[in-house]
Parts: sequence; C-alpha cells; structure tokens
Amino acid sequence: MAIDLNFLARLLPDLLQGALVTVELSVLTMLICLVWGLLVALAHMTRGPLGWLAGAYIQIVRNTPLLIQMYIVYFGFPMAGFAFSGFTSGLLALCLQNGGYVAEIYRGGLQSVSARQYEAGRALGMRRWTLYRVVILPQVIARVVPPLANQAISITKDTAQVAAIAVMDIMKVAQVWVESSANTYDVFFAVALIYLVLTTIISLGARIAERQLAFAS
Amino acid sequence: MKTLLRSALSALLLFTAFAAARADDSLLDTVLKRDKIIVATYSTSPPLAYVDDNGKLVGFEIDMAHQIAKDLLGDENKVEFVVVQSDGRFPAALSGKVDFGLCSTTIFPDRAVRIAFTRPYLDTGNSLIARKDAGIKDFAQLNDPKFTYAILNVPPAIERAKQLLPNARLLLLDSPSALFLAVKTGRATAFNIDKPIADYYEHENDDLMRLNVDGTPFAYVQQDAIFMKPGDFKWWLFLDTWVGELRSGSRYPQYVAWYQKWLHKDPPPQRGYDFNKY
Repeated sequence: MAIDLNFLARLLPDLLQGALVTVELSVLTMLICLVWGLLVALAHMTRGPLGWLAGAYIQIVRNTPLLIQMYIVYFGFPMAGFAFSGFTSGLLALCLQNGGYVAEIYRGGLQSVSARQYEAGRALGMRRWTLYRVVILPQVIARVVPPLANQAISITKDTAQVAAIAVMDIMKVAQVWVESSANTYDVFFAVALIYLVLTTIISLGARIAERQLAFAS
Repeated sequence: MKTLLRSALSALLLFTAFAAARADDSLLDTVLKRDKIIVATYSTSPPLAYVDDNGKLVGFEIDMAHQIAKDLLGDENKVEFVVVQSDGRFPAALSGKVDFGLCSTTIFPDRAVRIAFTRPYLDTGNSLIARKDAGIKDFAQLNDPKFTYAILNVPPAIERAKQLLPNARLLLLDSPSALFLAVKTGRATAFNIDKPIADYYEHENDDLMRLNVDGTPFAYVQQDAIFMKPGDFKWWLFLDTWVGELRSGSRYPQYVAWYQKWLHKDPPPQRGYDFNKY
C-alpha cells in the first residue's frame, strides 16, 4: 500500500504537537523516577518495616499493568476526592510503576560493588561520604546508566497509554486522525517513526554518557 | 524442445491459476467456499454489540451478523466475530482479516476515501447524558468551565463540542464504556454518545439523566453502516442489498423486531410516505 505523502503533510503539525506532550511526560517521568527510584532502593536495602514496605511497593507496581494503574488514579481517585487532571494522573501512574523498576536498577548497581571495595576504602581511612563519592558511586553510576537508558526508552513508549485517559499525546492525536480519515496505516506509520526518532535520541545520549563515564573511571 | 514444452506447460498452469483466482476474486465467492463469515465487531457498545452478564456477545449488530450468515450460508452460527477497538476496525477490513465490519460506524466523507460503506442500517442522533446530581437540565447549562464534558475521539463530536460548548472542559475517550465510567465516577459531568447507546444507559441507570437538546445540532441525524474494503463490487452489492431489504424492504418485520428488542421502541417507518394512498 502506497504512502499518501499529501496526507502525511496535513497530519504532521498535529502529530508534532502531540509529540511535545509525549516528550514532556517522558522527561518528567524520567527525572522524577531518578530521585524516587533511588529513595525506594535505599529504603528497600534497610532492615525493618521501611525495607519491607519498599519491597511490597516494588512488587505491587511492577506486577500490575500500567493501564490499570492509570485507570485507578484517573477514574478511582476522584471517588475518594482527589481529581487529578489526565496529565497528572498519567504522570503519577508512570512514576509509580517506573519508580519500582528504577529502584531495582539502583539496587542491582549498589549490590554489584563488592564488599571488599568498602573494606579497602575504610582501611585507607576514608570517611563514609568520601568512600561513597570516590570509590562506590562512580562504579554504581557507570553500571546503572545502560539499564537506566533502557528504562527511559521503555518509559517513552509507555507514555502512549495515557491516550486511554484523555491526554492529547501523540497516540491520542493519532487516534483522532484515524477516526476521521480511516487511514490507519499512514497515521500509525508516522507515529512509529516519531517514537523511533525520540528513542534513538535517548540511545545516543546514553551512549555518549557511557563513553564519558568510561573516561571518568 | 523439452525445455520449451516445460515452460509452455508452466505458463499454462500459471495462467489457469490466475484465471481461477480471477473467477474467485470476490469475497462473496470466498465466503461461500469458506462456509463462514468473519465479522469485526465491538464488545463495549451496548445495546448494539456488547458482552452480556453470561459473557456472551449480544446486541442489535450481533443479531444482524447472525442473520447475514443465515442468508449466505444457511446457518446463523456460521459466523466468527473478531472483537476490535475503534482504531483497529478499519485495518481489520482493509487487510482482509475480516469480511466486513459491524462496529456502530458512522458514515463520514473523509472515511469514504479509504473504506466502502453500505447504505445505513441505523439512524443515530446524539444524546447528552448527565449526572443527576449536577443539577442541569439543558445542554446550554453545560457550557461552563466548572463542568467536564466527555466525548469519543471522533471528528463530528469534537467539532460540535468546540462549536457549541466552548467553555466546558473537554475529555476525549475511546469507547462508550469509558465515557460511561467517566461520568459514573464523577470524572465528567456529562457525556455525548449515539442516541441508541444513550437510551440504553439511561434505561439502566437511575443516577443519570438525559439533557434536552431539541432544536440544536445535537439532534441532527448521523448514519451507521456496514463497512468493508473498497473495490469488491459483488460483495458490496450483496451487503448493500441486504441492508436495503432490512431497512425498507422484505426484511422490515425483522428490523421492527430487533428495534423493539434492543432499543425498546419502533424503528422509523418503512417509507417516508403513506404507501396505501398510492
């Protein structure tokens, strides 16, 4: 089936506007999860109720579908008196779920540093903060960047699900165009292409970061 | 010589294969040979096509599909339903996954560029259903930023909303059941949906009510039709004739029965004039 270029030219301005929302959601989710995930990971590594709670959180958010989490936040919360906008509900659900994944990535990174490194630092008389700053964190960061980049790509693609809760992201704009034109192939082809561009930018950024970190360590 | 014979024979074979394919190229023939029709349908669009309390796919459109199977193949059970979402329905028909779609689909000129429609089997106007506790009776009262108005992501609904309710907050959702959920949970104050579906929801829910839209563009008629991949005249002609007979010909009694069963009222008359006077 031939691609209708005239049609694509009419479609593109709308799609790009939707893509802006997609980028906003993705970037906000990534930034929030970088901090939130670290907090959850640190909590999970402690003993006692806090660690137990963090573990339960990770299990729950990772093992239930994102779409259902969005529905609960978007349709369920208003019944309890919290009516967030579609964008905020989507962001909240994306952060809840991806926070669980990112926490596990951090935990993997932190636990991968051998105990001997801590012992060696202490043997050299380093204080706790110096030990982390000079010895542990550089190794952790170098190890978590590739999986975090993967997660960022997955977040970007996951944002498509906010279309189900009335957010005008690129997917929703696409659905509106499909409804009016019946031209599903061209519309979704263009959408896939735009997602590909977005995720490629993330991959390239991650590769540069990895190279820099390799130099640094 | 042998080579020549062989290639001539292959050419002949190829030709017959093509000829066979040509004679067979209407979906009508394919369906008769397959002994089963494959129909795209919704499952969340009551009372036209939805899953009932027993988990069975039922509704006005589902009855239509069974009857088409009976007329084509002599058995109303020779039908396979492919449940689709709204953005999957057109590709399902265009790719040949289904023989046609019966998905509460409104005829729309932009759509007709890429998809073929039969004549309409159902006139649908628009209705506004609101929460009773919102305290509004008239659609004009909804035009207020404190109210949220939920619609499907379909172009006529979006245009109408922007034109007639520019001040209300707008929610675009992708299925009638999502609209219903939005209003039930208080996420939205009111929603706009095809009249038959609104009749159903109003009938089933005491906390919802219909807003008065008399004399507004909400009361204009839209037309739902069967859709299929364009270019197959024989197949289109069969389905179009079938709808014509249902809507205003030999199958009108059946139409009356389905209307009463699913929409709880009589259909529009068979003719726009009194036949007995002529």
